[in-house]
Amino acid sequence: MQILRSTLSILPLLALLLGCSSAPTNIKYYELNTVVTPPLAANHKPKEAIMVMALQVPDYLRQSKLVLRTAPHEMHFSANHVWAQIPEKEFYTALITDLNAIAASHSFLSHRRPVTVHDINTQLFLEITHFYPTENAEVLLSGYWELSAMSPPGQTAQSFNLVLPLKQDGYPHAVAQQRHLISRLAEHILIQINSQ
Amino acid sequence: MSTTEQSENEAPLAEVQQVKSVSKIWFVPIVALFIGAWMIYYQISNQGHEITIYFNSAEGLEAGKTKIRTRFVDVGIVTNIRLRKNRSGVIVTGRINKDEAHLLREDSNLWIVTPKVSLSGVSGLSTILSGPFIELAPGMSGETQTEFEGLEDPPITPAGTPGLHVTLNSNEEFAYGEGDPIIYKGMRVGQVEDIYFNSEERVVYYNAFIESPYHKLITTTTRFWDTSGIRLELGAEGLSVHTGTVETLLTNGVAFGIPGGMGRGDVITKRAYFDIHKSYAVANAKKYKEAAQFVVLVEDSVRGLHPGAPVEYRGLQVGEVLEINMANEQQHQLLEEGYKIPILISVQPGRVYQPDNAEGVETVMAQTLLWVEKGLRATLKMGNIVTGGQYVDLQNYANVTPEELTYFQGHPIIPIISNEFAQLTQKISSILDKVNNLPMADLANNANQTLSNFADLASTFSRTGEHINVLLMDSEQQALVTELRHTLDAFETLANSYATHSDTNRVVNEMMLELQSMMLELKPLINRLNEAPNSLVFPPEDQEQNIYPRAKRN
Repeated sequence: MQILRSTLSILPLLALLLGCSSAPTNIKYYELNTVVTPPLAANHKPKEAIMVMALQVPDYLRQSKLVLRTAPHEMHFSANHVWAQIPEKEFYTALITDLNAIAASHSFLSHRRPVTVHDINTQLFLEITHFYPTENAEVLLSGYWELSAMSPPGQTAQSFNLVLPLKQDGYPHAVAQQRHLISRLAEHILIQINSQ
Repeated sequence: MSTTEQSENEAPLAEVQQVKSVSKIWFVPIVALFIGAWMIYYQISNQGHEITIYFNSAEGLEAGKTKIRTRFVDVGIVTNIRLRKNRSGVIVTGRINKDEAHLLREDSNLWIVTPKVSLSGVSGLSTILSGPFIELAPGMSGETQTEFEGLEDPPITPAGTPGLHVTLNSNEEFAYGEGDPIIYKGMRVGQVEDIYFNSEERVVYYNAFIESPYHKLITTTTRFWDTSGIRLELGAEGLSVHTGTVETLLTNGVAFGIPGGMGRGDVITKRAYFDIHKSYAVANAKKYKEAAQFVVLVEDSVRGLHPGAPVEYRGLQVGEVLEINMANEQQHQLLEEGYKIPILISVQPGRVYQPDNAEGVETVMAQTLLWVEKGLRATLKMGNIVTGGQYVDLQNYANVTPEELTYFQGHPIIPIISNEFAQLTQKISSILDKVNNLPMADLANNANQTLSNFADLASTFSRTGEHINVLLMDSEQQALVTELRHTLDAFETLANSYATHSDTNRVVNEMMLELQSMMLELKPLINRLNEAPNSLVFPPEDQEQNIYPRAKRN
């Protein structure tokens, strides 16, 4: 009983000691979708709706640490540089924003919108395989997209591998370049859609 | 010739003188005569007594050589052997030593001792070498006798042996021989001496001798019974095996004792007469002298019932069956329906602890008749399933029809009730008769008709059941649908409460957002602890100083 009392009295002291001995953290937060797109002009022309389905992304895009490829098969997860939001959601939002900003005759809808799937004839499936800066001073975005229509039935599939160079050191510039890669992807998709 | 020569030639003249005395030479013959006379006298005076023995055969005997012995001591010698002229046999003349004349008694016995092998043993082996001799067993009588009838075999009981002579008689088919043992509690205490058949009485008498001191066991209440061989009895009481001694297993024997429950009685000192009973049980039963007799009239079969079978009252033997199918005037009606077989039974006062005398008989008779009025009935019951032995059972029955007391040949009749088996048989017979009288054909037709109607009914029921099932299923489905509808409505209400624009949804969203923001704040700390658990105490080196995205170097 006396041992228990002494143990219980020591624990708070240790916690205080630990708290005093720990150094403050130096963590930076990054946001992917900071590109402010200009408001869309009013367009009364009816557009074909395309629903963008949920993205298929690697696991490292479902966590908050920024990822850097340091060698061909070596990845580094930064402890001090983290995403403010889950990059999967930010990527999805950014992509829809860019698609709608560029598309003239199509309207890209989020699958989270309260609309029934049966109302949308065309659906866009997207799978991201790589999305990170590399040791080669560039950022990489690669993956695969598929456009599926129900009436008339049709499918279009395309893979992509987009690269932009790093002009500056540091994570901020790398994140900015990753945002530009999303815009490049939107352009790539629309080019293919419009060419059909 | 000369004078001398002349004188020599003339014989002298004898001078005759007159003898004045007897010649001395006569002394010799006179002495010889005296010696001879003395020898004759001595011989005659010491030659002993001459006896005459009559035997059937003189086999092995030789005059002048065959000895006469008593207890292996020579007491005489056979002097002459000749045939009997008028009767078959031989006359053996012998002479007994003078000093042994006291052995010649009236009841002395003589027999020829030769080697003999019998069931009782081997005897006389010594005569194989020495030759037969005549054994003389002196008697105890005071009269002297010199003519004897020789015995073929040694007497069973030597004369003068202390003990008691008894005479046993039997009407049964016993075959005892001389020397058969008399047994008392497994001990041989005597033997049968001789057998006598009375042709007038048609009874065989056995003279037996009980040795001392066992002769004192013979009393007025002593009973003798046969104990020959192995006796197996299967009666109402079951199987019983009786044996005597080892000797009686091969030969015959008689045992004696006092039946249980009887007093010792007075000791018998003189020759007495006893019956030989068939067994101990029979001997034991004979201890009861008096008995009250009754008659039972049986309509059922008396097979398995024998004289001597027990009469029991509530499981205790109170008497025995005396006679079956007593001789009566109606015997010629045996084959007629309704003939009742009269059974004579006895109830012994001694068995019911009444005086074994006439007074006891009267008591038993009066009591039994009283019970008959109150419901005492007799029943033939099977005592042994194996042998089928029956016995008479007396029981008091509560609900019986009172019957008037009747008599059969002077004996009161105890009414009888059929035994359980007979009753069962009667009931089964009556049932079978009723079954036989049933109109089976009509019943069969009716049964067929009923079965066909039942089949139609069953099919109708089946269809009705199917319709009911359909109705039930519909109703169940409707009820189920109604329940499901209610459940869905409730679920919809619940879902609406969690719908996107509902207050619950808003509250949940706000709570989740708060949790998310809290996790975001804790995430760096958790990541740091995950990578370096000791980082709280020992600040980790900033290893990421050199790890960051780099632009291309020119």
